[in-house]
Amino acid sequence: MDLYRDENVMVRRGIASLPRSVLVDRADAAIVTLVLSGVVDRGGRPRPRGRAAFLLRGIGLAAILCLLAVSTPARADGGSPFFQVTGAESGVDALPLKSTHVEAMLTGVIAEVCITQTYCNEGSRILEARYVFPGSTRAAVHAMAMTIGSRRIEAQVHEKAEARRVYETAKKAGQTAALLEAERSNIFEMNVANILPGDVVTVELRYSELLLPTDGEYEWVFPTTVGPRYRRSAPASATAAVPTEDAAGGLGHASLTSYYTPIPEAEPVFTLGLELATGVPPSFLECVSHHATATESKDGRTRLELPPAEGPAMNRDFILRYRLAGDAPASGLLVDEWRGEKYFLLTVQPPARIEPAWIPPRDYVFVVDVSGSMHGFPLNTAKAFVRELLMDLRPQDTFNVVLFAGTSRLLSPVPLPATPEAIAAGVNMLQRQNGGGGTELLPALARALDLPKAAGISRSLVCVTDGFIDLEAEAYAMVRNRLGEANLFAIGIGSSVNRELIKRLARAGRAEPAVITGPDAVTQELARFQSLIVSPVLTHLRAEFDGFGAYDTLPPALPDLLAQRPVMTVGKWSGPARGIVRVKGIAGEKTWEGAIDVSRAVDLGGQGLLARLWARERLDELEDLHALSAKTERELLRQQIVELGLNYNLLTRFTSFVAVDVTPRASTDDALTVHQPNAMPAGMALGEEVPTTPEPETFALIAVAGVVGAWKMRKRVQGMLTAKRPSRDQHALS
Amino acid sequence: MNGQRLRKTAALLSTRTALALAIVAGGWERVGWYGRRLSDGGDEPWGLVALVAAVLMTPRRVWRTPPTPWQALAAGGLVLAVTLLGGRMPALLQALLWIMALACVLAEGRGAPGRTALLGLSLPVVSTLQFYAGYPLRVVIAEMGRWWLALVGIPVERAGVVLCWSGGEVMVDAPCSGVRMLWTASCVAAGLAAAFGLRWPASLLLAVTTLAVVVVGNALRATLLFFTETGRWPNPAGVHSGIGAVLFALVVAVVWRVAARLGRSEGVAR
Repeated sequence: MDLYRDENVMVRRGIASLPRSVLVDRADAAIVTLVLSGVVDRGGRPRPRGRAAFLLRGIGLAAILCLLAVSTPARADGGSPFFQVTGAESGVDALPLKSTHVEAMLTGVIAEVCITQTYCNEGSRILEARYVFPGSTRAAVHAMAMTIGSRRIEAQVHEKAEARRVYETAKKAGQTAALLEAERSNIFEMNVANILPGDVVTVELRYSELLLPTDGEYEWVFPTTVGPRYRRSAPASATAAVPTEDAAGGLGHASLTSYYTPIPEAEPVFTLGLELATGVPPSFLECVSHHATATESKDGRTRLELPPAEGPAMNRDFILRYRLAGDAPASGLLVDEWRGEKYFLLTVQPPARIEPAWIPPRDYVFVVDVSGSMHGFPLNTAKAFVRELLMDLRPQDTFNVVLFAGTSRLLSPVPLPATPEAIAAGVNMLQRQNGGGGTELLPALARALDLPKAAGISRSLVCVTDGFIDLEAEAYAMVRNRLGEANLFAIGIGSSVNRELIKRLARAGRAEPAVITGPDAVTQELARFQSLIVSPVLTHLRAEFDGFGAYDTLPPALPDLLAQRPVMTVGKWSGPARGIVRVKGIAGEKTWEGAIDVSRAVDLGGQGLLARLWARERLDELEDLHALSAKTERELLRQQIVELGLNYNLLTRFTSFVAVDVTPRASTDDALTVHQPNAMPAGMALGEEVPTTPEPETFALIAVAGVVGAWKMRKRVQGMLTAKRPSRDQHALS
Repeated sequence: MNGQRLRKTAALLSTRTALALAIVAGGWERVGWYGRRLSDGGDEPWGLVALVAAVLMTPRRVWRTPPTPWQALAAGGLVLAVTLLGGRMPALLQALLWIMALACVLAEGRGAPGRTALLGLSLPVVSTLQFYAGYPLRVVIAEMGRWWLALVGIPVERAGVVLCWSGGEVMVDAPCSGVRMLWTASCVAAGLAAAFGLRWPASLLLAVTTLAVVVVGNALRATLLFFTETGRWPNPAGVHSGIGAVLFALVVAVVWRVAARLGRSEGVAR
């Protein structure tokens, strides 16, 4: 119904766009034609009074139909609602973000990142720039500053609505202002108001994040673009692009509107500098996404530079992987003091993975996204990945496949034993997919979670998607609430996947996330994934603080360690720095224990780094609870998130950074808002839909009927002119 | 002079015309609703074509002769029903009863069934038809398409309204249901029934035939488009709408032929 409503609104607009006089003239002409054509004769009788009248009547009817048909303009979009971003006005700089420079310092398990965005107005009108951009899933954004000319203004963190109010007030007063909001925990929106023609406005934002190696390999990712999210409701219009605070309080309801440029040259210059200050030189260093150059300095640090690229650089995440020489263990205890409170970060290297001799049978459910956004290499990669997993199933395992796009399809209503025939059926079902339609993840997840399962057999759900959906929180909450004893492994595929969804799904599923950025990574991820499933590194983990006054530790309960990565916990502590921290768990069939002497902890000297990391972990926990809570409890949790943001100077979904240059500089009457476009993620194409067979528009059908009528009349006229007696049809009509 | 003109005008106003005008005036709420529906974008405004055709195809002698007691009674009953039960009925149903009251007044002479159908079709019914009948029609079309494709040796599975083949899927979505074709062809059939002066049995037969021809024609159209959409046939610009137009022309031609035959048979009977 919506489709038709939209279509008809457009038809109506089409009519409305005609001059009124034209419509009146055409309606009058139709009536006049009816009268003239003899459909209504002077006597009001329908019967014809002669051949000429009969001829006129037929031609008149056809003419009316054609006339009315052409009075409605044809539509160019072929029957679907569309959203079009038109070119900028004359004198307007449509791309005010000129460059993005990233400076990162990776020290051990912590990364400190500074992003500098330079906005410049090269047009002749005052601009407000709006730019939606991604952040790391573990980023704790803690500072922002704006520079105009020689003036540098440090941004203040405020409750979101208050920050917006401050920004709007400054904007109206003609002051240059910058506002940084978090639409989601990994998607930010920068607004810069009153950029005067010729102005250069620089905005810096800083964040910290935790890096933990997996199998001894570190990975640092800098996301560059926000992929378009599939949403079930009507597409957002340009006027609905102003973000609003999440009224329902649920995660993932906030407005998310991005703009995309089809012109790669239109993206801002992207440069990056990175310093690896790990103390131990890297034995392996690779930038898998961009052409970056590495140099080693005299003090043992490694410097990586990404110069301005000739081609598009912001259409894929920047990914750096490295290993430290000798696979230096990531165990250790860091302590710090900030604003009168002490914080610690504990990382403990787990034992080597133990391969159990006997693995019980498992039931696997593969939930695979075959929507339009997966078209191309993501779907091909997903096919290869799932096919390999299916082929490696053991005869005692069972499996099922759920494919989803706009709807979902199931291979079998019951779990299938992994026989060659059943595996071939699953592979064939997947191979037939081309990628098209919407991304209805929730119904597919619900279907997978509701599938029957044999008693006593563990189930693993494997969800393969690019994660470009709008209802992230709902998906997360569904998994958390309905998963039961199963695990859910979230596999993200694409050059710029929604890592936040993948991470959250995996966390809710008590399993590991994985991101496959290209077909080359399938083999590696496959091997890793299989080892995760069949032989977890450590289970039943717990941390014991012997003589060390730890409290408020996060996560509150240590999850099973499936991957070969350090056990991590962050918390507060009081009292003297002494005692032993023990981490205990079960590796294979044996008990394992790792111990750290607190007296050998490294003091960071009051940088506040650990406080921010603790706050970020706490934020994750509160947002999880917020997403799962009833409406009444959400307000309380929202207040806790606001307090956390204000206390730790942290960007959250409910706190924002705002910087105002108090010098009034502009008359706001002429200001124009410009939406800075993002690059489309590489390998992703919009608009790949399931082909359909729509019927012609009504006006075309009426025109066709008119033509057929005219044709029929023409034959009759010919008959009347040549035959001496009236036609049989005319008899009937008379 | 003025008095003479007034007398002439009054002479034109028969009891039937007055009754029709009274129904229109008394149903001003329905008229207002009709106007709003035509302009709110919820439906296409092509119903006006059917309305104008129905009015203009009513012979003047019908306007001039007084209605029969049964016609007046039926019209009055319908107006009363709308007045008493209006609040409990959907607006479209109210409008249908109201316009049928008008149809009762004008249902005089041959061609009355066609004019009644045109009045009914003048209401904004396409969206409602799409909502209630759209999906069943799509299922029927998909199933017929699957059957025809199987006949020519193309194995296709139907999943709801989706035709799944080894290379992908083709969906019979809402704009493929044929509701627009059905409405337009029904208007053509109703106009022809009025023009050929068909009585009720012949008109009903024509209506059933129209429905069947539209469904078959639309299924054939969807089947042919399956070949272009799956890349088996070339798909240059214009082919899509061209196939739709040609098949609809065939549908109209068949309907016309059937209406003409029925008209001739009625003429013989007469």
